[in-house]
Amino acid sequence: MPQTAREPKLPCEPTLRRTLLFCLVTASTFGAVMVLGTILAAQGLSLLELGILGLFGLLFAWITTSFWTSCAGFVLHLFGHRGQRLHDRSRAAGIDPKPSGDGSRTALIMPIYNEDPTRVRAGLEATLQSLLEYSTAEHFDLFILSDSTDPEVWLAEEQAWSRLNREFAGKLSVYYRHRPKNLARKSGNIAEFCESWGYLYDYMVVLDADSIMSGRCLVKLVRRMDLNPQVGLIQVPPVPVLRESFFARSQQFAASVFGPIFASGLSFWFGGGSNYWGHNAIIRVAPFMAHCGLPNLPGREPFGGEILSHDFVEAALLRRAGWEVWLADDLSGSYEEPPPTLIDHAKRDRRWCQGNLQHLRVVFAEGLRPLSRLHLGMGIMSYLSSVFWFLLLTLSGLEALRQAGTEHSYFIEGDLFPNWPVSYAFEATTLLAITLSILYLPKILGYLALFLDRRRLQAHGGPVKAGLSLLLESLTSILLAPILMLFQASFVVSILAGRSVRWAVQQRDDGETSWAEAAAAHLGHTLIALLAGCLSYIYVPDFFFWLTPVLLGPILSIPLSRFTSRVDVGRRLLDWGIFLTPCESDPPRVLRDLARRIAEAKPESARTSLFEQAIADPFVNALHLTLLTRESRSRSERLHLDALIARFQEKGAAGLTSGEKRDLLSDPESMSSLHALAWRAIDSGPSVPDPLTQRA
Amino acid sequence: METQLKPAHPNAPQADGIEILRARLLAGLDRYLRAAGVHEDALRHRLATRISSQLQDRGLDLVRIDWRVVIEAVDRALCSEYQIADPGGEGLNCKGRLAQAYCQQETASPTTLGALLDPADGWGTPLRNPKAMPDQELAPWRPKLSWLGQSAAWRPTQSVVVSLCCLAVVLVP
Repeated sequence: MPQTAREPKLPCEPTLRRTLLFCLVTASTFGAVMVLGTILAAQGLSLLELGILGLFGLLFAWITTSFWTSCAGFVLHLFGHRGQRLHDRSRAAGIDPKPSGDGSRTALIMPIYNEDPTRVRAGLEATLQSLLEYSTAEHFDLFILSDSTDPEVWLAEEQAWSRLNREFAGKLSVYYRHRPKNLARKSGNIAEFCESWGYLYDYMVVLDADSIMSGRCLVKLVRRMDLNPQVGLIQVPPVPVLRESFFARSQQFAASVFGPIFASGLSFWFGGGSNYWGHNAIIRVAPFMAHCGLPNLPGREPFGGEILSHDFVEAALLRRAGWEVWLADDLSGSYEEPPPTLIDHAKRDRRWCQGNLQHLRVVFAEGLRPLSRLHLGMGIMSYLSSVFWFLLLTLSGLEALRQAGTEHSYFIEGDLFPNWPVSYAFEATTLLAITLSILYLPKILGYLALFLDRRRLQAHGGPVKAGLSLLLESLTSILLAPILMLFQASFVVSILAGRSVRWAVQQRDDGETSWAEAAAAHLGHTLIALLAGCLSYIYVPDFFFWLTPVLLGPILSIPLSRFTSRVDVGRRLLDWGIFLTPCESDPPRVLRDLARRIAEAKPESARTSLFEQAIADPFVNALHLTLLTRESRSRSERLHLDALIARFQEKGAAGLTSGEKRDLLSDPESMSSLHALAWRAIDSGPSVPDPLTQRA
Repeated sequence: METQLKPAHPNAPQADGIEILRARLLAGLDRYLRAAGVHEDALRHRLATRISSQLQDRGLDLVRIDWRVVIEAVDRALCSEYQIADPGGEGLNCKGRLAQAYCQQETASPTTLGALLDPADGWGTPLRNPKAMPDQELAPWRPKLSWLGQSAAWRPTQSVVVSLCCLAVVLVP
């Protein structure tokens, strides 16, 4: 296992590619800014117009980067060159690769926090079953790393682990670890794994609670790591799958059609300086342990404290230490589940927004590679762009108002010739057309890329249905983009105002949005859009019509949010072949297996809670006790726990809060005593509290 | 909580009463073993009898049965029944109950059961070998005077200056 960073002598090709990207983005932005500048500077540039020009330049550069990335990806697909760059690079670089199959050990790690244990188990079973179909399964171990705080979830996880442990006994080791306190959140959870068991493994594959990876993909990742000892991390782009709501299916379709060319483009530009997205990636453990220990940032939250979005920072730290980070755009078999509704998407965005804005403290850190700074900057910009867009619209409205109040003077004093107004309609229309092309051409390129692979085209429903899906997806994104802009702008403002975010659990099933939820989330958007529409219609009617595409989404946001969350609409579209993806039309075996396992895993209608079962049921109690680590308790802690036991005896489980149940569950002594007391009560006859006797 | 075996109750019952108390202990054990998953009547009866005898030999108070002691005895008996290594007097040992539950699964053969529950391998996780991950330095970059003297550092600066000059030539006119 390499312990030190090494930087092989690489050809200058990546630098050339990045220079090309820089030139393309700069030239496009420069051209667009010049055209807008010509229009605005007809009567000299005011401060307002300078602001518009600056914001437009920033936003144009932002969308142009995505545009050129998609173009590069499309060209790569056209010539069939995707994902060929990491293969056998070690030979070219003169590094001895590790012979494959000489016993490199890989840990699949899944950090979880109050996730649905049934879904977690089904996903892991499907992944492990797929892995067992390949011969190298004996080199993999699975770790479920729980930070769950909900007592019921904690106990359900233990049972899920016990079933996994039995199912894969003798084939593959499945481990479970629960941390009583979720220090440093997910990154702390992974760090604790590395610190405790990192010595056992060469690589670790990080999985999210909704991640699914095929055995073939996992084995290929290990093989690539073996062959490329200079690589510290390989990220596989996760394909969103399995959700059925309209919103989620439109996202799944977009990711399936436009995602591959975008990922190829990213991989082409960044090569070994790519980024890490937090899961569905393989990491070399030794350099990760040596170089990716995350410190607490100075200052208070939301900018200080624990690093929330750890993935970008870890990739930057690996790069700083000389390790390569790759995006394996050619590997399939990596999946995740998207948020089912617009509101869930926004909730996830709120968390990511704070994490990315926190990178303002990291982006200037000493020694980081320029490309890592670019990744961090792009993460920040993905949220700031919403604020800039909002500001651009506001300033444009004010400029339109100013223009409307200014009369053109045909005769200027001292000038013999009349000052005829000059029309810039052509320039303005051209600029609009270019902007729209830059926004929508990547979608068309994604659609055209389908025609390069007949099977892929058919799997998306054929040319007509895929085209209709593209139109519907574009229409949906036109309507939803301004709503997301308002969401993100409000998140940025609230974070800048110093409000932090809790580590909330992500909604991972198809829960639909109710009218009340939609109204609570979107009333503000509707009012803002109505106000902006009324003001522009009254004072600048010409501007109002330009603004309608942006206003329509927020005005309709409440019914739109409710409608797009509906599963029946998503299913109906599936029946019609709209938004069809290969994972729906011809699901890979690992996803079929997962779907079957989820369908089979019906929730058990237990008469008592798992907490009560952990007290009364001999097996559940034993399982829990054996997984606890024994800690010495102070006298006051012991008194507190004894008081809780007494209260439980008096009032049952209902008399305890969730935190108090967690306290009892964390203490082996208390759980043994409660189990004994329960059985004494059962043995004593009917005059015992219900919860204790029900199980027996 | 009381956990140790107590001497016989001072007001110990007479012989006929002892039989009733023994029967009560056996009934309690039978109920517990059934809850623990021992569904085979003969095995349950055999285990209950053996555990009851062991407990009485150790002087269990039959009037006020300490169930913690009873449960520990059940665990030890199940460990012995399924030939799982008993960690001895290290406090909690619940693997007897686990072995019982695991044995009900068709997948768990005696070999895998031993491998799964062997205390030498740890339980739940492999043995830890703690090694701290050092916190990385993320202090912001600041220009240093010495940096000015390095020719390598000048190259990007020169590029930036040249680019700005080019832009100025285009923009200013």
